[in-house]
Amino acid sequence: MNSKYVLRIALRHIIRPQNRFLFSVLMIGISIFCVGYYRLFLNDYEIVKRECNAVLTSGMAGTGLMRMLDYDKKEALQLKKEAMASGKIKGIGTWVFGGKIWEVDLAKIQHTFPDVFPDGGGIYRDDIVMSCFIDRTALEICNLQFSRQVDIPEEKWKNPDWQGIYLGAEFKNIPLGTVYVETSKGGHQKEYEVIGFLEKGQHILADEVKTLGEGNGSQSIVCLDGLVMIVMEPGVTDGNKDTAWIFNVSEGVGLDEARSFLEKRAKELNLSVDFASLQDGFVLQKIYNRDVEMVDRELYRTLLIVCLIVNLCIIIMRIISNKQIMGIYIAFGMTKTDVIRVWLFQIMAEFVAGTGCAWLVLKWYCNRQYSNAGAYNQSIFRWLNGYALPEMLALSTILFFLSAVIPILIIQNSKPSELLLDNRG
Amino acid sequence: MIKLVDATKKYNSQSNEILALNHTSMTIQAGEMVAVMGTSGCGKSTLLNILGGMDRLTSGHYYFEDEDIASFGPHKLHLFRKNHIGFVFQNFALLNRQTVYENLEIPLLARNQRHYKKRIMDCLEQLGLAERAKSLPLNLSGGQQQRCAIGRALMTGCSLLLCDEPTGALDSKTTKEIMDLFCKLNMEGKTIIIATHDDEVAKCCKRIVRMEDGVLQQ
Repeated sequence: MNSKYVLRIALRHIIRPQNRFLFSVLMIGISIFCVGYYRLFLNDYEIVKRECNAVLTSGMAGTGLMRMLDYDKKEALQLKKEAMASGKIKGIGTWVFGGKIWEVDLAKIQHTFPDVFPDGGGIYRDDIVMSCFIDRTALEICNLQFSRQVDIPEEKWKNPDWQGIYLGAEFKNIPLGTVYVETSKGGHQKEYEVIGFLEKGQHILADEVKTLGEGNGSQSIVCLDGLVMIVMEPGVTDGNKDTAWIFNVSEGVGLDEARSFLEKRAKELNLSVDFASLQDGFVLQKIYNRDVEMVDRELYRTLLIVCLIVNLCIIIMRIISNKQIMGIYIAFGMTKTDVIRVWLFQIMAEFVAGTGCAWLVLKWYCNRQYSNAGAYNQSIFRWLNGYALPEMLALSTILFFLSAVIPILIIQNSKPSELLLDNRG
Repeated sequence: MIKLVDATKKYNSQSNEILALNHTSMTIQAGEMVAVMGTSGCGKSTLLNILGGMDRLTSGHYYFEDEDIASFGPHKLHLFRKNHIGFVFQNFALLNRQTVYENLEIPLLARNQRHYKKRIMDCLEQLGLAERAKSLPLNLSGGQQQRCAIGRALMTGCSLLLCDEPTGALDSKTTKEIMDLFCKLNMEGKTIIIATHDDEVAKCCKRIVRMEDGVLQQ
């Protein structure tokens, strides 16, 4: 037997299960889901690229990072003083990435996000809002921009029972000057006052870049729009080991020179420190991202082509195997246009159902994967609704039109008697 | 009713030209029941396709009720098929994933007909298939499937029934049942043309024409 006929018979068995519609829906759904799922990863690169550019273009050359592991030693403060006195370093600021808000009163801020409700015990979920502690020097070095802020007198800054907070642009509905009160177990009260709002679209370094810059890009830079920034007095650490120093060099001093000075003195003072340069970190990050992204983009393109070919093959096979039915329809009174309409509707239903399933699965996956990812979760779902859904719909529409061309051509170019002959073959 | 004049149909295959109808002529009056007999490949199916408007003549004329069908464009040809022709095939050509009732529904849907349930059920009753209305064709016997196919052809409201080897897949007892049904339909006024190579089937018809190498010998 000719292998062409063997293949033809085999294909008939493959494409003629009882429920072909579900088979097509499944195939279309899998294809669209794979493309959407892969787009999820590519989206990470785009976020990182955008955010790296946002930080790099805000004039942070000549700025260094130092992770102070021995934050609790008095020599740490001595090193800071010496560095400032040396004239090599213009300013040293500190920030601590809190990760999330733990003060119960302050956590009420989460009310401003939709769909966040207190749990059964009346305590608000604290995994939504990211927070960080930052001192005024670090604020200055980072060159952050504020949309609104109030002037705070120096005496207030020195009050240990008061702390100012800056809120990201997403909290714009909270009135300026709102005070949150934290009561300790001993009954001591501390006030947190909203003293300003950050301009939209600003970023700050977090976690991996801060500790050498080779980590996963998407978590290295945090957008401040959904973040609570608690301002602390210079030099204060709250006992968190992730305390980092950010410093800028004096005019005419190179970053390497300032870094070697700090490194040498830290060694002499027996302090354990790690260094990173913003530039180094970003370059590493960019190279890493560029390489992985190249591979991923290639895979994405391949996936798109495979998706296209698989779906087109399925549609073609189905149309060929159903030519007989078209012949019967024409013999019993339908026009070719009627038959084309019947098939187009069927294919459209398959694409709508397939895309719908792919969308639901992707949404379910993201929900499951990122439900504890804090602010990142919000960003993912914004991306899903604003970007992934239109892209999946566009892909599905393109596939549908390509798939529709083939049945139209087959039906238009076949004589009714040829279609019927298929029936009797 | 039907007049073929010098009808020729050629098929061009890769290596040679096949003459399925070779300058043949024929006349069939309304209400006739004609058997077209001949061996396989003699052109019977081609003749039925031409008569049914499923294919076109290469040259010659085909008159149906004094209209030259050979000159019709695709739309008029479609209307001709829709208004006058009913087909019955050897292998029934039923849609196996649709029920008996749904198969009979197709011609009516194609004609935008409404309120047809009673009409279908009456037809199924007449064909002895009323109780199998919800069955799938594959669950019916050969005779039942062919009766279902005849029912579907009748739903078109056709005046000309074209049957291509309608008993070719049936045993002799069922063949007789089906032929009785055709005779009954003919008595009711339908013009029926049956392509067959079975003498017993041909004997049931009022007229027999033989076909050889694309030529009708009346």
